[in-house]
Amino acid sequence: MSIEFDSIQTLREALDGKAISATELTKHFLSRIDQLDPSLNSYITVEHERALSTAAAIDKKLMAGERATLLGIPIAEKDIFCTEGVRTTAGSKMLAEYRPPFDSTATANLAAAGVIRLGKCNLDEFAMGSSNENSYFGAVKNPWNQERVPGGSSGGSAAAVAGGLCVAATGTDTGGSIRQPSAFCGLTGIKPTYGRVSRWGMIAFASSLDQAGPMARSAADAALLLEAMAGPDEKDSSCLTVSVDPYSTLIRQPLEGMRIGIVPSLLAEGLSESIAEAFEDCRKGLEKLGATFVEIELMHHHHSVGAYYVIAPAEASANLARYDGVRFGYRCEDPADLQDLYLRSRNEGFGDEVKRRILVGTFALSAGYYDAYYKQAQRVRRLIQGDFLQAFDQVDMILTPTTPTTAFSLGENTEDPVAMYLQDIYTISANLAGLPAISFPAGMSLGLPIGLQLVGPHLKEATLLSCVHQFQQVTDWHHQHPRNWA
Amino acid sequence: MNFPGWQVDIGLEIHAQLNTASKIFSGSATAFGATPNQQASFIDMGLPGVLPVANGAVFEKAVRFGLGIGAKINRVSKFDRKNYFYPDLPKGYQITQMDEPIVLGGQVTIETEEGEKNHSNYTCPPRRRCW
Repeated sequence: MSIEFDSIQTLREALDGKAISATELTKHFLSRIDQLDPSLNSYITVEHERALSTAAAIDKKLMAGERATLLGIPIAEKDIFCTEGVRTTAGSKMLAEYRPPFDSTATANLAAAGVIRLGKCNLDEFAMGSSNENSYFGAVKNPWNQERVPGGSSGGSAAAVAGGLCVAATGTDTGGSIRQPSAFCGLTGIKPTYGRVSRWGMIAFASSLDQAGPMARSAADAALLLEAMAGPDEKDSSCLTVSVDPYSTLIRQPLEGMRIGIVPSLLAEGLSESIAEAFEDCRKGLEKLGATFVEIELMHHHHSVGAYYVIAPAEASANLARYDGVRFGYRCEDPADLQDLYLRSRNEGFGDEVKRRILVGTFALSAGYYDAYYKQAQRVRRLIQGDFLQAFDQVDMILTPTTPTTAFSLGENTEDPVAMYLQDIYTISANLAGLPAISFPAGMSLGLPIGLQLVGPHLKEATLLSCVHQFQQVTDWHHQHPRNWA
Repeated sequence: MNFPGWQVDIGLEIHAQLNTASKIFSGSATAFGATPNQQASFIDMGLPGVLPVANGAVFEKAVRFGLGIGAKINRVSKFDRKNYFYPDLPKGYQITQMDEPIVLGGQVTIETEEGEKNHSNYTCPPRRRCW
């Protein structure tokens, strides 16, 4: 059986035509995980029993003639989505044994659509990182080359999908955490418009930037997942109330007449040669499909990383204050008094990168510095958003690289936080502006995938997905898999 | 005691609870005298992944109160996080209103031994402590 890289459409037909049962499909993935994941470390928790009992129930439904696009499709979830009764760690010692009493809305929506959850995927602690090396549960390896990182923070999700250890996975993206690992692992991953997917039950990192989305092998698969995940939710006040577009139908829209923006300054320096070449090839490919390219400028884009690394840590420092050892999560041994309980529980429970961001964030919000840092960063954020909105008067979407390089080596950037932060130079601005953005595979260099990014106007997920889908009709980068990694 | 040349000026910080049926940021009931822990939700406990949703009745009652005391009703109002650690503060911050509260200022008339007297200078916004 070699079905681990099949599309959802192909699996759908196999399940509906009874060529395979949901139980057989689930067993296939579970045995691949058992056999292969010890070398990747992409899962923190594998839910053998639960997955098989879900599959058995779904087989009954399939036998009874029930049909739904995701019914019986095995996926994985980033371990930052709360799952009722199943431990949800956020990659942290702080929550290593934490079992939430409720499901996240995204989890519940996917379950209602009929997916089978195989397990919970590894990630950088509290989604803070670009390499998945900041996990309490150990680094994740890139299935394309196990000396390389899979990217982060949704590195476990990316490695599991790329390695054929699930069909697709959920991710979250605060500054690039869906798109950068998608690029490093050859996947199609979309960060929707801020508020498109509910944040209820998604453990918060930076509330004004956090957004969930799917990571998949193609735009077609990603469209099916996003359709199920997205939608209004009264439990999240910032969740958008507009109805969800039928992405899986709209992806068939032709590219004819679409105007795509290119930002010359983003291609000027720091971009690896192979990615610059892939960018040119992609541009020509999209032109052949009927798109026209327009040069645009994003005046304040170069301030994105600076503004982000004030705003995101500031929000994180408040969001992570609840992990104090009092009610849940990690508590230090034998605290001498309350102060000692706070200090040691947090000092022992959090990793270095999380502590660094809490310190930066607390400083940026403290009296006397708030105006100089946080307020100023929010003003810059508004300017960056304004640049995009102005650009979208001229173009339907903007094409950029997703990352400056292909997947880097394990340990290469761990001693230099700023070098690590610059990984997200192309992705962060979409979060600051709340815009949808998609990364898709568009080349290979030295055996490693290259990802490019399309950014669109608010709520234009369908435009991005259809553009990538049309590109994937004439290219086969998304069909390449790391077959020799095991 | 006598301090010639000094005049005593006393400010009062008054906490009033709006009589809504449920809490300001969760659907938990606020009935007095209920069994312990029966009016606590995951939101009140500040569990990972929860989000507050503002109770509409709070705005209506706060605005009524504001109109009653002749306060300024802010057309735009926002909540702020006041961060500190304390054992009865589950999230590590209060949700409060620092510079753009629902209502600001106003006055109440109180009766003194010498007859009616107007105390008008409310400088601080009404604040809500939300737990």
